[in-house]
Amino acid sequence: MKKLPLAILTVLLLCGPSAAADDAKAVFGLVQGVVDRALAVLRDEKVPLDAKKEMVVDIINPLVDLPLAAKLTLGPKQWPRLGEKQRREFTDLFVDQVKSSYFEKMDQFSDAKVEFEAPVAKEDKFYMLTHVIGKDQRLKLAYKLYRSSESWKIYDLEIEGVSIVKSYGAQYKEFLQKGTFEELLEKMREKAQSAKKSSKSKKSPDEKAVSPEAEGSIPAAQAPVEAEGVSPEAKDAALNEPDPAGGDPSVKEQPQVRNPPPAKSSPQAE
Amino acid sequence: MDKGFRPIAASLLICFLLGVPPAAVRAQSAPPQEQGEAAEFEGFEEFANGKEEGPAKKVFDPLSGYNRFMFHFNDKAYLWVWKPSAKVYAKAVPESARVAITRAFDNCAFPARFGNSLFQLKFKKAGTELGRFLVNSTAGIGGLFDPADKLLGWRRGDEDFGQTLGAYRVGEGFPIVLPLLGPSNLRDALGIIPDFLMNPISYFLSTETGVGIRTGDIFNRSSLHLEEYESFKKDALDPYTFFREAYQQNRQKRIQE
Repeated sequence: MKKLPLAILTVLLLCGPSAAADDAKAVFGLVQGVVDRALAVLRDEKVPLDAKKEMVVDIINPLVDLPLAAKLTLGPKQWPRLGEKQRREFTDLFVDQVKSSYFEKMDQFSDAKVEFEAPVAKEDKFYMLTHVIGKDQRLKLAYKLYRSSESWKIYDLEIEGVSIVKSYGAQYKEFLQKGTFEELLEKMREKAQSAKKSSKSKKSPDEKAVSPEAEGSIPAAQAPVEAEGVSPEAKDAALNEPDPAGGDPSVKEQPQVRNPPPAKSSPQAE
Repeated sequence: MDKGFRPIAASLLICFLLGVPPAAVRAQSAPPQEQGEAAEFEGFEEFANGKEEGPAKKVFDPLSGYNRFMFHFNDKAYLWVWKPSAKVYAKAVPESARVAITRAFDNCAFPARFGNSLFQLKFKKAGTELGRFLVNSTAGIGGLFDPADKLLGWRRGDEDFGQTLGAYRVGEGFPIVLPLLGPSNLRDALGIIPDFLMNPISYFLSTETGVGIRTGDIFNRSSLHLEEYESFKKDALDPYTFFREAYQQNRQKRIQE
């Protein structure tokens, strides 16, 4: 009687670590494979930038659960209050934003060497640290993974300790203290539009840090600052004004029609 | 006591190993009608800071008016003055030279990292810093090169006085955007003073020259990271909140390490 629990414990302790070790190996292989493949695409000088983005997104897509990340940024208070349509549009906007942002950062650091550390188990999740070795510094880039119904999936990224989910979440929270969710969506739509415009107007796709045409990009980069600098009151007023681009209902529908796929993966798990 | 405790401990351990939440935890987790929605967030409590406290917990930012103004000022100062100058400098001086200069400055600032490692009783880290200083000052020609990292794998730490205070549970106070230096908080802003005093530059030269040299250091460094600020700012819905949050998370992580 006294020895039975001990025996069970021993068995559990013996099986436990090896199963965890297998998981750790799987996670390591997944992350390393994706990063290596994405970097290979980014470093390939024959591929034009637009095609690169599509290829990189195709590589990382199966490994990330961005709809979950979108949900996590809003949190268990805000998310249940939203309607199906709002959720879908928010998720689409968030997913697009994070994808282009990750692609851009990867592209900036595509010359860097990446070192991978063994993933660390945190309860039922994994935290895998990588080091991006740049010119004069080593950056810590951590991938956080959970076990979805299909496979291990990344649900958050930490750049030097700064979590994507947390930092986007903080901005949404701060915005929602003054504005409504519709206004937030509107602002995200505007951002997506202006990002598209500025990426198209760029003359050369390969804008390296010290390239001469970088000079031309300064005015474009300033445009959003102008709006940011305005006092909160003025910003609210601006939001309520009928905006020719964002306020038009026909424009509002656009993002949903354009890319519905992320929605199908959002009712995951339970 | 011993006999009663053991089965509980054992069952907890088994629960933990199997990943099953004990009944006590399960029971209080959520009322049935909200379970469907809330269950999706289960296991991701790491993001739910202060979810019990009514609608979205506010960040304590009493200086937010000043902070936003100063953030905007810094933004313009960087984009209009600092960055264009850094660009000209970057064209004139080859990258390898600029990287060597940052290494020399880092080497020179060794006492602050060493001291703060010691203050936090991180003796191994302090030893690494000392070793790095000795190797790089000699074999690395006054710190222009970093053989300690390249050949010996001794990585540079980043301890500073703000982290030392943080390690002794001094809170961050509240966010402060410093003129030209950018996002900080009360604790870290005060920490700049002892760090400056631990830098040998402030001893051998006048304060003005010391500040001038530090400015040169930061200027040289920023020439290596020209488009990064814009790249992050572009992604932000509200750049001030984003950089405040990013600074806070980054510091918290570094204090933990």
